[in-house]
Amino acid sequence: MQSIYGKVELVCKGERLLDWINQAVQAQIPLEHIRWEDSGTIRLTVPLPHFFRLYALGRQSGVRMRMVRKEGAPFLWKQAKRRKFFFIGIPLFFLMLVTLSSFVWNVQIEGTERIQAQHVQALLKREGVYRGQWKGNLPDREQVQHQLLMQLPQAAWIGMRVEGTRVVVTVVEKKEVGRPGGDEVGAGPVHLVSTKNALIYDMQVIRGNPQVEVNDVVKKGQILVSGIYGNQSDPKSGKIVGAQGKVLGEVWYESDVSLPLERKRKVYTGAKVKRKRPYLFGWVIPNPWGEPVGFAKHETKERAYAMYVGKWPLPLGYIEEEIMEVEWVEEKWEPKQAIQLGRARASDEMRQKLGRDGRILGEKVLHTRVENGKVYLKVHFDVIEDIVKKQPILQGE
Amino acid sequence: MRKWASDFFDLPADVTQELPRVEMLGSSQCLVENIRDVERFEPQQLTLKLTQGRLSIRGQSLNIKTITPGMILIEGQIHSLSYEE
Repeated sequence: MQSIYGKVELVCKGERLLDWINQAVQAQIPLEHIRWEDSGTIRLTVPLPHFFRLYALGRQSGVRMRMVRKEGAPFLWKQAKRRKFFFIGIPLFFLMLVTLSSFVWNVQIEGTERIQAQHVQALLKREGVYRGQWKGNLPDREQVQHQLLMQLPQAAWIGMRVEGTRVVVTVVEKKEVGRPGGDEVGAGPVHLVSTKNALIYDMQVIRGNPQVEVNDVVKKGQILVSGIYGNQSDPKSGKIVGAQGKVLGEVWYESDVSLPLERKRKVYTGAKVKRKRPYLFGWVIPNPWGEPVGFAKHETKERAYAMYVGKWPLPLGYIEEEIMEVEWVEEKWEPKQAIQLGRARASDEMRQKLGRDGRILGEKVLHTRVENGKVYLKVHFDVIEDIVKKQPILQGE
Repeated sequence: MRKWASDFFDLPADVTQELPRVEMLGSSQCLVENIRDVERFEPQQLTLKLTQGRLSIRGQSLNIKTITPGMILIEGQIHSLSYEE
């Protein structure tokens, strides 16, 4: 308390020191640490607010005093005033540190080879990411990434992150692959040959000399469309072109499928418990008093909710757990059902294999067998697919 | 009259009769209440004026730690206390 008002230590000289002290005491001046320095000199301490009254009393009794020591807030304050700029400088320093570090000083673009960095920079500026931008004013990261990706067709992925006063934008460029169909025009001289033994179902020849007709049976490797016009045995007789076209062939497949008759399946019973658990800095705070979940088998779904101050997420929040009871249910199929299922599965697989041009003309179960709790199927498929493969024409022979 | 009253009401005499109340802590500290004045102050001797008579404290390197009207706290090596008329 006294250090707020301050204290003064005085060395006093005079004839009638004792009278003066008594007067001071009577005048309600609290004196402290009164001791003799030597005969005729006294050292004492007085609170600063009372000093001036004491000094006035001393003048009356002819006491001369000298200040030896000053302590307490008023003197510190006085000192602080004298070093004004220093004490202003401290908060100013921190203010500047905070202010200057809340701006974007640098926008760095990584990973651009074919895309011009200036172009990315210009796009970023339009989005509001540029040097000198206030960090609090930066647009949403996801949105910038999305916008940039929309406007940069050559980019496969764009990532933006803020590192202190620096914004780093990472661009992942698409790998340059020859345009699909780019080899159609001006492609080298090729024949189209068959990839499979098949029955020709349909032909669409854009360029080239067809060697087979619909309903012909072809062998694997047989030339379907020749790139040589004219007499085939004499390449000089006609122009050599890149044959181009689509030949659909009817192909037969047999596929084997096996399917278990019994199957265990996980089923939610519908019973569930929801509970919330707090977390801090990514650590879930365990609750030792929590009731154990009464389910023999269960699955847990977790969802984290962070707390926000304004729009800034705090490193604390809670996790909502949804604990759901599960049961294993055994399913048994009749062999008939299983066969049906196996057929469906086989045709699904086949359709996937055939791709865009192919389709299934017909399917037939050739053979079924139940063994060791499993059904084995052999299914025959009659399918249509593109059987074309390009083969370069060897020249100069 | 005052003495009778303080006896009758069982009140402490230092309150009613302004008698000095002396509190000592070993021989190094001495607190005296109900004093009038400091009559003499030297390192070897300190004399306090009371309502009636005086109290002399003798010792070595005596100094006043705190003084307020009516109360004094003395520090130093105290050898003796004596009441004088």
